[in-house]
Amino acid sequence: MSTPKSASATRARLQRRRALLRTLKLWIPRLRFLLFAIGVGWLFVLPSNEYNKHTYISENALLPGQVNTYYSWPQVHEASVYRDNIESISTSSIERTAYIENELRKVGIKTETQNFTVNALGKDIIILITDGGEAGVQAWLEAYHDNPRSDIMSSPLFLRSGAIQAAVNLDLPGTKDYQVLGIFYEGVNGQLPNLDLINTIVRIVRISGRIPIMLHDTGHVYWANDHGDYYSSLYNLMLTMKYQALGHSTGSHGLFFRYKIDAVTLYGHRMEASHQPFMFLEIGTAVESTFRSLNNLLEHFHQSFFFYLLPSPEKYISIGSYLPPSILLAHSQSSKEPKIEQKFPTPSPFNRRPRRILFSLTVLITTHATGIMIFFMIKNYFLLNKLASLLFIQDYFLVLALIIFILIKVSFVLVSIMESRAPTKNQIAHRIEKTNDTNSQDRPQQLEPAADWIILKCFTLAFTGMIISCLSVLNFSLAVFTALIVIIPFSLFQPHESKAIRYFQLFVLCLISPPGLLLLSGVDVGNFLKSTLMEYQLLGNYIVPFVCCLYWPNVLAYTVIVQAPIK
Amino acid sequence: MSTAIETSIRRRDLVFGIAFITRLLLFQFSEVTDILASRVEVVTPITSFTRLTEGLYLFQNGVPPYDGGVFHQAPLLLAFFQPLSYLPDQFTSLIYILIDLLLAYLLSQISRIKQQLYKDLPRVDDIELIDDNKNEEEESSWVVAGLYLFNPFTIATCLSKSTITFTNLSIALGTFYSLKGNKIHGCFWIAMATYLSFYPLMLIIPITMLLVNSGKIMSRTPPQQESFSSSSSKSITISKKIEIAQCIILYIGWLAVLLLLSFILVESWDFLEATYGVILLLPDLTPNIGGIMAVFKSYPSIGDASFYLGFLPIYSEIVKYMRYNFFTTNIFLYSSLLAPIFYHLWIYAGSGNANFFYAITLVYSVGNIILLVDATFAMLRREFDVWNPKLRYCEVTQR
Amino acid sequence: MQQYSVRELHLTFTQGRWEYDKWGYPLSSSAGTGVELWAWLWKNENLDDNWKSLTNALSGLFCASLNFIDETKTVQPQLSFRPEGPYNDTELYDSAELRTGSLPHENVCTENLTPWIKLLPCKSTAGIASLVNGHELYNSNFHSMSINVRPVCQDSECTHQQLEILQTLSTVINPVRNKGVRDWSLSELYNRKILRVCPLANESNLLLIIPEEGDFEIIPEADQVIKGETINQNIAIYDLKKDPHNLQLSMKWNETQFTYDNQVILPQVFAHRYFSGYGEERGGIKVNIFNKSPDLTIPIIYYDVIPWYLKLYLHTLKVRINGVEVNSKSKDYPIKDLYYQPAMDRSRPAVIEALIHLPSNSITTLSILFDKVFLKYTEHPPDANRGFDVGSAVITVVSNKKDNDDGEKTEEYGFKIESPIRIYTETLLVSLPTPDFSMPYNVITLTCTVLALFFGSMFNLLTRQFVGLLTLNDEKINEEKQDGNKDVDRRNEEAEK
Repeated sequence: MSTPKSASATRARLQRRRALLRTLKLWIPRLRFLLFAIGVGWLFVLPSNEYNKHTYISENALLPGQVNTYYSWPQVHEASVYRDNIESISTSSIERTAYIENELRKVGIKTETQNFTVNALGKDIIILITDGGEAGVQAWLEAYHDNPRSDIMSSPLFLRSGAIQAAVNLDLPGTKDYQVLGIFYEGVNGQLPNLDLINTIVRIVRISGRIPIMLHDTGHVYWANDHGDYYSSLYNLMLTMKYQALGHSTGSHGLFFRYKIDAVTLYGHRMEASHQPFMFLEIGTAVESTFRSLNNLLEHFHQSFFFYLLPSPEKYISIGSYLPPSILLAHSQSSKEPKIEQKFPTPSPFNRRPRRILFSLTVLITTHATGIMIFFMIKNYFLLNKLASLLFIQDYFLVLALIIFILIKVSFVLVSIMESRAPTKNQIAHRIEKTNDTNSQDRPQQLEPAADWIILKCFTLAFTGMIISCLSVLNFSLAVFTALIVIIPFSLFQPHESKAIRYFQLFVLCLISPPGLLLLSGVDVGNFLKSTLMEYQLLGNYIVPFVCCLYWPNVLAYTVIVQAPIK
Repeated sequence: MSTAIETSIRRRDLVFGIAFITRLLLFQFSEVTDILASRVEVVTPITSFTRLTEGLYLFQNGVPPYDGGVFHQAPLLLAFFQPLSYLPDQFTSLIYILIDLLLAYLLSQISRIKQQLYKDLPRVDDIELIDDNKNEEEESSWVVAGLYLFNPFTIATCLSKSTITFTNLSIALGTFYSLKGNKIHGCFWIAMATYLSFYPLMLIIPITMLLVNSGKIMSRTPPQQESFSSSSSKSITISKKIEIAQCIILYIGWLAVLLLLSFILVESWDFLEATYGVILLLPDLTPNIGGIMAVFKSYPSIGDASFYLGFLPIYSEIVKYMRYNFFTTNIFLYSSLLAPIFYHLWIYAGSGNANFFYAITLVYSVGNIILLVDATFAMLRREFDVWNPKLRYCEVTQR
Repeated sequence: MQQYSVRELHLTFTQGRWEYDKWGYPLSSSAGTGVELWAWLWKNENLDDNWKSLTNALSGLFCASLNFIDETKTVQPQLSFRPEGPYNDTELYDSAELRTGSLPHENVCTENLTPWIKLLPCKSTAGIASLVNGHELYNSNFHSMSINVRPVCQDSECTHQQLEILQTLSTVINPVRNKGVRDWSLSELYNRKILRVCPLANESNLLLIIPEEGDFEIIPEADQVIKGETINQNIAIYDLKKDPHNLQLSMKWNETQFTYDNQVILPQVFAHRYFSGYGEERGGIKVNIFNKSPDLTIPIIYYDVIPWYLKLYLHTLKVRINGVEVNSKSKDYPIKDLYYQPAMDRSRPAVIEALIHLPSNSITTLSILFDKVFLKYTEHPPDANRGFDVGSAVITVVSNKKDNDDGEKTEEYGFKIESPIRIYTETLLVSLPTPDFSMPYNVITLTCTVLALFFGSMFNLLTRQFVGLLTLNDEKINEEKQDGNKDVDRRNEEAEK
């Protein structure tokens, strides 16, 4: 029953609600930067020792280091003989292949030009010896899974075992002793192996007691129960995040992840430091022990152990700890969206301000189409290279020139369209008059439509926020780096009366556009392009399509926004 | 004025032309269509074109297509696709494109009819300005077609060659003919939709209501206050009863004819269990975007969403009143981006598990629910505004 | 046999994989990894019940999980597994039906061996059977034991028939693995000695195929050396009836370290089967069938049973010869006859049987695509999640009709060269998409929450009425405050009524 009293109560409730909204509206812009600050701060807390946890083996069946190993001095001797033989053979790849194949056959193992199997343990072991680094591994993997995807032409494979469970890539350069065992684990597109695999290896190496471990090639050497200081942890994290963000595999192991095979690379480092050197004996024992542990495994690795960061070999940060900052970063932007939406609240049941969505959508579609076009151009980089060489210019110059031409053209056209759509002064005056007129007639008119750039900015921000948050599930590091780069400019920039500020904004946007970033980072553009393209074509690294089709278009949309007419 | 109509007609042609060309172009990228044709969000076991091909292959080679766990689609689809299998693949693509265009055309026609029917109904006068010319009508009808044709969900469904398109077409045709008051065609198409995917069974009620009332809406004067509250309780006259019976008999008759034809085609009743049995009992557990929507419909896909989203712009006056448009759009966008990602993490990368994908289907369902609730709210709210023009500028709340 | 109207029965337990491209063809019948059972049953109304009872009886007899051969694993092949006894074909097909089933995941162990030994007349106490030692047997590279029950003719007119039980046991032991050289002796290999001969035996011979070349010595000398007929090598025969006590058979090679020969002699027909693709959504099965014969076109029957949880698409069946795809309409299309039974969810597997003519010196590749089915969570076995096994495909080499007569009964001192020859491919392991087992909880709680959200807000909308309230801070409206206020009040009153 609604008595006058209850009506007034309702009214009071509404008033409270409105007051709350007003406060929120006041605070959201500030909150935005607070969120951003918290996100960045959180990232720097991650490496601290108090914050992360000790690693543990989640799959009990692995029993690392608890099986007998039979690898011993006689085998070491044999290994040395083989090694010397291989060394003595000329560097021709065919001869080496023939020698290895012959020797393996002698041991009674089926071989094919690339592979062979041993049936000694409960599971088959496939030993893969490749030439040509990652391309060789990829060729084999594709042939094994009969899934030709990249442009590698490989001969068919007839020797197969079943589904592969795990892989250990041994990268022991040279023939001398090693001082430190480096563990590389980042795969293509930032995928990681199951933490249990790394834990098992670390545990086994620890038990052997003679091999110090290093993550990557950071130079910080870890002995047992050593977790390093904050800076080394930070350095390890930064390195991992760099590799992940670039989608760069740190070794041949990175190619296995696509096929759901967990893999790591063990790298023998030689350092000047006076660590006790270790040799085939230790490595052989460790590898055998690892394989015997894996042989204990009856089922797949446990599921939830794929999202982690390693500040040191025996410490990890789980997804629950590191995901929030990236989400915070992504959404410190989106909190801006409602502000634009509700800029002019009216008591009307709906927003009276017509929003001309279609045009903003067209702008976004155009910029993304441009991105895809640029992507195809970069993809056919090698083709254009030939053209460039005909014209006697630097090989990437042509591509760059074409891209820049396209970009300028597109943004110019878009801006000019926007200008043509913006109301002229006369029109504005006319509209105001009209509005006043209708007001006097007690018929509140539709409000004048919101400026195109506001809607475009709103869309671009929402879209960027969405990309970042979706990305953080796939590739956390790439999401964080993207967020760190674009958030501040994207949330602050808008068209401005002052020409100087406009040009400054444009300049910053140029800097954060992919070519700008490349120049800032100081890498050799030609080489970088070549290697990333190789990775895209061979291994399916998606950094190039991501940058071209998702990142760049949004930056491009912003260059349109900052040049747009204010009204 | 006539130029305005011409412009809008030209615009309509442009929309259809661009939609046609886009689809034709996209069909040339076989990687895109292959991926779409295998996405669980787009195709389901009961609409998959791959399964249809398999059923057709078995059928042509003398193996009973329903004597197996693969094929769950209606037999008449086999008859339809049999001649197509002798033609190049492009013809099949062309048929799907044309059906999509036809659907869009039907939607725009439905929108037109609806506007004519609603012409004399009261409206929120200052917002929904009545232009005497037909421009608005034309204008909104091509917008409706455009919104349907350029909905990414529609394009994805078309490219995946999902057979849900046929159900959607039947429903659209059924609605169209019912609005026109054509009982025979209306009932036939709804029977066809039911025959193809069972759930449109429920549509017989609204369709009957449409058919029975179609003549009257046109001539109805703006209802008075009391009719608003009590007209529904007025007794249904005998003639109306006859009309309802006519509709239902027609519907059942058509359905029986279709089922008999199917029996003649495949020479056994196995298809009943293999199609409707599968829809009802869900033996195939291929994940789909349903999540909880399974409560309302088994094996939903974005094809369903694309179709009902196509109806939304017909009620443009209601869309204005909806509060969460931005939010809903975001939910749809997020879920359509995250669904493939999470599915990939679960099935291919192995780093995620089934909960990931389930969560996103849940989000998608929430999106649908919010849209539905919001639309209902908007409709009620608008009705309130229509009947209470004086309160237009007051804060309105629910009691 | 009588009770379940069984005409013929073949049961094989196998552990390991016979490597055709290393070892050639097996000397006795073998099968794919796990357990394989096939039987011809007399046609009557209880045939399926009989089959079920038979599997259960054998299950109890051999302590194996044969009872798991239910309708989802039972198949009736149309071309493979022809009966081996003497029959009039038309009469047989009218009166009997074939049932087969296999359990690729079954581990064969001593509990299966013991009942097998018990079927021997002297158990494992005498004769060659005394060499059977579980410890050594299960440490070998491969072993397979089988029981074949079939009718044989008593006389040339075949008026009387008798049941024959043939029990075979094959093992592959590699002395090089332990010692590095090829030297071996019976006592080393089996850790047992033959002490006596089973008195019930008519014949008890030990045969040894003598390598064609090499520097070796066999101790003791053979009683008799004959030239093998189907095996083109010399065979040494040791008659155990003569003097079982002294048979300390051993072989010594004059070498210090054995290195494998690089030139592997391959058998004429062999095959490899594997999965293509990755991920847990779909995949493909591919078979490479090799015909190494330089000039013969060999007809074979390819038989493959795919469990229902791999949904095959027959229209994706493709044939390649030496990597070149062959169109099904082409004259060279090697599949001459194809029998396909589509799978039914949860009730029967898919069966492919094809008569294929393998061109000489070729690799024929069959490929077919499938979708992996999502199982109900109760359908996942309760053990470790290692995946699901797909049994071996069987390739039956169809011998030409005119060779058939002498090929049929080639028996040479127990070296029964099977006719037709059956080649088994690898068993495969497939991982299916798994649900997460926390899902029932999540689904119930979250789904119900969302449903509540839907129904709650829907009812909320439909049951509550709108009321207007005056806004307090809008200037424009303030002007009509009086009017509006009244309006609101009036409306409220109306609503109350």
